[in-house]
Amino acid sequence: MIDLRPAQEVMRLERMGSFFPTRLSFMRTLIRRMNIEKWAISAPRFDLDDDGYGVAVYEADTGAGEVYSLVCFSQYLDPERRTDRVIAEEWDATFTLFDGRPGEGDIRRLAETVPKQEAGRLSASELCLARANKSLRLFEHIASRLASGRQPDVAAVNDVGYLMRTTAVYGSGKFGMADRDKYAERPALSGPFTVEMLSVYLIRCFTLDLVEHVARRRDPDAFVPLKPALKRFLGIGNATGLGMAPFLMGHPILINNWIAAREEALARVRSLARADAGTTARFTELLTRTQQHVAEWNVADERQMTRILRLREDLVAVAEHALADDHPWDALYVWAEAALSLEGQEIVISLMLEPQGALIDDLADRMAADETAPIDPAMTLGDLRAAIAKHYAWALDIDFSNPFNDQKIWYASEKKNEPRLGDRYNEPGIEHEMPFAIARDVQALDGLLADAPAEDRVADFLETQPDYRYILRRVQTTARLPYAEIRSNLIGGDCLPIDLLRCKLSFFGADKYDPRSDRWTRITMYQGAPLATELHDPDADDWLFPVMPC
Amino acid sequence: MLMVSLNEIQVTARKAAQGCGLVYGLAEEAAVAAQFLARSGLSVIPLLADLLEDVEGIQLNPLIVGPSLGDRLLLDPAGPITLRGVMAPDLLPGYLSVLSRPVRISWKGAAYSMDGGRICQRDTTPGHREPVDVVAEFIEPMPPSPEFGTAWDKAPTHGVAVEPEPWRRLQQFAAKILVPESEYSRLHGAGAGFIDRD
Repeated sequence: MIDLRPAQEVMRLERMGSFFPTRLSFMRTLIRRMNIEKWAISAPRFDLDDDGYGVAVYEADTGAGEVYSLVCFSQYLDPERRTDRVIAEEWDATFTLFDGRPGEGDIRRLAETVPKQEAGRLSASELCLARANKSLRLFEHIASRLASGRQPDVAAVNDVGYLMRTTAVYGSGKFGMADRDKYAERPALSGPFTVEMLSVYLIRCFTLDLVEHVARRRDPDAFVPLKPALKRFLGIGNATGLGMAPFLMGHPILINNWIAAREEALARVRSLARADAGTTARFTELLTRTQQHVAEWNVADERQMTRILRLREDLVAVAEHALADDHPWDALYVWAEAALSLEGQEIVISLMLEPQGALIDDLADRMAADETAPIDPAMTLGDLRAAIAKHYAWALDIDFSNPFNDQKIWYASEKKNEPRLGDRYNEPGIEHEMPFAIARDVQALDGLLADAPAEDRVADFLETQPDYRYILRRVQTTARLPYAEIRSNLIGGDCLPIDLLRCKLSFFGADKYDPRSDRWTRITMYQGAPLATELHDPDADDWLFPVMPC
Repeated sequence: MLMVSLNEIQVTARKAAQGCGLVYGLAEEAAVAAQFLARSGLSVIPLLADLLEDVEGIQLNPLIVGPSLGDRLLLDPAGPITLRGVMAPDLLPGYLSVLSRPVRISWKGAAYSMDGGRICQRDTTPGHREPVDVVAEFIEPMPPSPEFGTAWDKAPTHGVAVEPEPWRRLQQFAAKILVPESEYSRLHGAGAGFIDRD
């Protein structure tokens, strides 16, 4: 078996910021489960007025005795109050995922609180809380076209890619909702972020019905429904900012498991001695589709657009590169490493994994995590220092006497706890720094250990140095689980948070990354995914890198 | 009483501990301890709020010595471990959930027995706020407790009831780690400035 790629290579921020979705991404895993288990999606309630304002309920029935209901509240939004920032206080639509079927009393209670989002209180019956704003441009274009008996302009659909974008999707016990422990043992919801991904899928169902409803009410006689191919090409947008960074830093074991599953999948595929004709043909077909997908991916951000242009060249090179007879996937990857950009290498991985479901899909079950990580008090300080030398050489090499290397400071704002990134030397008053200065803290720990007896145990050290518990625990975790730590300086003047966001979003299964600055991005979720009526189709799992319908 | 989730207890406790001056690592472990005790059905929020009120003034504060006690017990010591003059020790069992071995922690007039990282028995009226000597020692295996087991299973499906006043105090402590809003940080700190109205 080929070795897994080393963490010092995979966990560099610039590579993590080049990841693409794979068949192990959470949206893909959920749709596969819905397909295999024959889930049924329905809308038992759809009480909306002519403008599309009111209440709707979407139900996902797993067929195994579990029902999850998305309760949707759609309302008028004053244009002056429209913002995607977490600091917003009103939205076009707000949602909660209810555990079971809500009664009238539940709907009344939720109507009081869900539209308030963070300012409301939920109960353990609710699993997820979300909100979304329309893409006014595309929503109006599609509604007016359908109301006049015409289909929308395909290019306009591609330009935006969604009718609504979520601006926050909360789960795991926030605002009084159910803790993850309530449902973590249910197979349907056991994967990471499954309740969030299910909520977003049902939100997509709602937006597609909403635009048709508004169009039909405008002119019932002229109205035509949206063609299924166009519907399928409409996903859900998402505006994502720095909030993802604290999550990635705060869940090292979970992140390790995500990356380790993906790396194990790559190693399994690279270890195949031969490629059968079916797999090769499928790879070629996917490559052609991916070239088209990337050709349709255009963004305003200069850095990302430059990368996309290079990626297009990379994909041409892949198409021209002949597969070797012996260990063809390993040879392809080794060639890609030398010949392609980081995005080129990572997209090749997504393509190599895609035809290999039978070989790798079991790895999706390894991506959740028990995140308890007691400190190992018996470890000697000598072993601890050796672990630092092995896993944190990148950190020890950073010169923190140069202010550029700790120029940035992460903090939480008084405004809705929004995570922000400041300038340590030019923004006074930031007293509480988020614990992302891993390299600096490791250097401090290593400095103390240099003067401590190597045979002493961690327990002895921590008794007099309790301030080092956090960083010491991280070092021990990383020594066991090497993909737990991001091996880049997150407080350096050149840190690009957008790379952190991209990594997490790729595991969700999002694509069409559209950075709007170095710290927030728009993305599309479920673009190309099967519609609710198509979930049982044999090709329901085939939607990696979707392309514009003809 | 106010219903909150275990996640809210853990996050609020961590931030409150940070807000009151505890370093991140100790705050994180205090939060895990608080969540564990709350899930076990014990009233931990008032205790934690009082301890955080005066972190520096309390000698042998369980928030400081708790993690080390867990470490020491993980080393499987041959005999009991004694901590002298600990204030408000009812928080200490929260730090022993890392142990799978059966363990008993006791002080004058009070004892908690644990096995498999869960509380099995409690013989105490909580509320010791004067310094006491605490003894932790390994014991014979204990049967699971129906009382604590029910609370443990119910917490994630129903939430946990907390007293509003000390909960509000914890939230106030937690707010201390937040940075006041400024126009500069609003525009630059999250990289916005782009009007997202399309």
